Amino acid sequence: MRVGLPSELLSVAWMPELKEAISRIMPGIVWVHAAQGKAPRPLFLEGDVCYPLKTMVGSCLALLAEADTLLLPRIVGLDGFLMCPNFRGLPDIVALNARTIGLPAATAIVSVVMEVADDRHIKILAETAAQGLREQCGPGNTTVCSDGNTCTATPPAADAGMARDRDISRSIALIGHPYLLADGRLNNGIPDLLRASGVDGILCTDLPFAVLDLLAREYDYYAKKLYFRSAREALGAFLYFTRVRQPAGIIHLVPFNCGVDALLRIEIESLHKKMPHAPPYMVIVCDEHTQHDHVVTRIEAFLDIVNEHRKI
Amino acid sequence: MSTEKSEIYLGIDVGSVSTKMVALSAANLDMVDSLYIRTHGDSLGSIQTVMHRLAEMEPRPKVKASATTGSGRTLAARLINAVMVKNEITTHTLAAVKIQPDVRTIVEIGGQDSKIIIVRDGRPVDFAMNTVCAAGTGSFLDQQASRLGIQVEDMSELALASDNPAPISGRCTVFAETDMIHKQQIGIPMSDIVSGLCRSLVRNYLASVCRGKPIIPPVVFQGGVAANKGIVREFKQQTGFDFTVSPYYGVAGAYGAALLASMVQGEQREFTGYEMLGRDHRIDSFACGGCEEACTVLRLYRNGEAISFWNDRCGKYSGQLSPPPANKTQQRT
Repeated sequence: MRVGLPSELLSVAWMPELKEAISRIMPGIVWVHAAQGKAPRPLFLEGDVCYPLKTMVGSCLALLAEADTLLLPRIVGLDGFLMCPNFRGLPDIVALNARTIGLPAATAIVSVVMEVADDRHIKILAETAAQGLREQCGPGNTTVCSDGNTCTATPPAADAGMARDRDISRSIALIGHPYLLADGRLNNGIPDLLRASGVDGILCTDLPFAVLDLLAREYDYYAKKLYFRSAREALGAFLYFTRVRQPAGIIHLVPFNCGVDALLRIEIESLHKKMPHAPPYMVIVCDEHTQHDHVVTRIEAFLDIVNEHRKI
Repeated sequence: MSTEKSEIYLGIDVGSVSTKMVALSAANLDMVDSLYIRTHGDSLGSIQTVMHRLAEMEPRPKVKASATTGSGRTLAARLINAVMVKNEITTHTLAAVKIQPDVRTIVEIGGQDSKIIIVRDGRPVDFAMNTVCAAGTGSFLDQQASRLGIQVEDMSELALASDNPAPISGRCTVFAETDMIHKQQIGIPMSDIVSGLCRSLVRNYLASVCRGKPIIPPVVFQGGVAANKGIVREFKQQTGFDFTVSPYYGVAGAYGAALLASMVQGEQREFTGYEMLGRDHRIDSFACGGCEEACTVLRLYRNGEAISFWNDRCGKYSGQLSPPPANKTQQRT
């Protein structure tokens, strides 16, 4: 059984664990994360939604043609905090696009509501998802498999790049949504640009969420608690890289000025201004750059600032 | 006529709207020549014009080191074999700090780019640039001047002649044009409309480019738009601070690049700017099919032979024929 699960979702916390748990229940599953064919263009008009969502929906539509079933959890909340509503509506958005652009309806979409905070939740969710997948492919079909496709996106292992003894004082920390950091199409190739400049880039996804959440709690005295998980991730990572361990600079990647990102970038910029010894900080709104050269100019200039800062 | 060759440091800033050149005496860093020309979409041609200007100097100066900046910096560097290729933020900072060492804020408004650079102790510490919208840039003024049937150079005096700027939307050139047509139709004087345009550009700049970044004096104003005294007046009115217009405002990026060239130590490269004049150069492009990025790779020919590639994100082509990497040189601090 070929189950499509877009690679973009593998960057979301708990998704690798869910995939693994489902594989244990249904060992015959062949996961397809990236379609070989070209992704159909989603229906969104220019500017309606963020580029990451457009990309993800495009990947899902491409997978519909190459998988027996698509698994798209409705990700409502992770670790007790909400996700962007687009994650919750993803199965509906994909189904609506597929219907409207006239894709064959042969491939079913299995969606399960995902609210996960620990391994116990993952186990229950995996059983529910497996049940849904079994129902879609019918009895006896769960072991159909072929070796054509394998996972193309490997989610970062927790703590993998951020061992305590690692010197990050010359590195540039990248903070932002995990799916943005993981996908070169979405982040304008910024990790590659840093690498090409001889700079070690470190990702906030290398830090455990529990650590980031603990730091972000300090700001829960606001009228509204930061209830979006990604907001806690970004704020926690900023605090980690300014208070706990300082890299040479911090780049905050924002998909576009929407919802919590629009608020948080202002908040973090404001916090940064008040910190006398914080490393240089820059925000790049990925959706605002259509020319790669513009991103290159910003990265070059930021690295110049970082080099000057190090001399002080 | 003196036959003794003077040595210079050369800075070239190839922008989307204009190309600038500055030559500094290698002996004392005095500016010996500068040039500001419109690029007119022909970067190669404008670089050749710059080289002609240099080559015609008597005696023809020897270029000790050169640096390029601006959106066409890579092309320019390949044509003249520049020792440094630098972004505009760094070169504008060098230029401003040179003329006003205690500068704390640099406002730069060029043809397509506008930027704010925060400087502390002579070092850049933060910056912001406009992104996809050029509403707060020189192109905005250019377009509206054309719409009004006047030269952009005349806007300065017209704006100063007005004490009652007309309210014009600066958020978008389309809205601005709608506003201007209406204002013209109801008979508002041209000077009030132009002054209103200056006000809207400054408002847009402060809202969209600065986005809360603090403007702290001393402020140095650079870029072609600094020639417009109406804009300078508006900045003063809207921020409450004096804006010092750099004496080299039009060529500040090239000036900074030339200063940068003067700081380079170590391996020097042979300047090929004069050689290019006697040869046929052309550029073509092709789409790389190596990956989904589908980069538009640019290819430079000299006398029919491909000598350089660039604009490929992975370096698949640019790594083949490019000159040695610039990191073999060291920047003097």
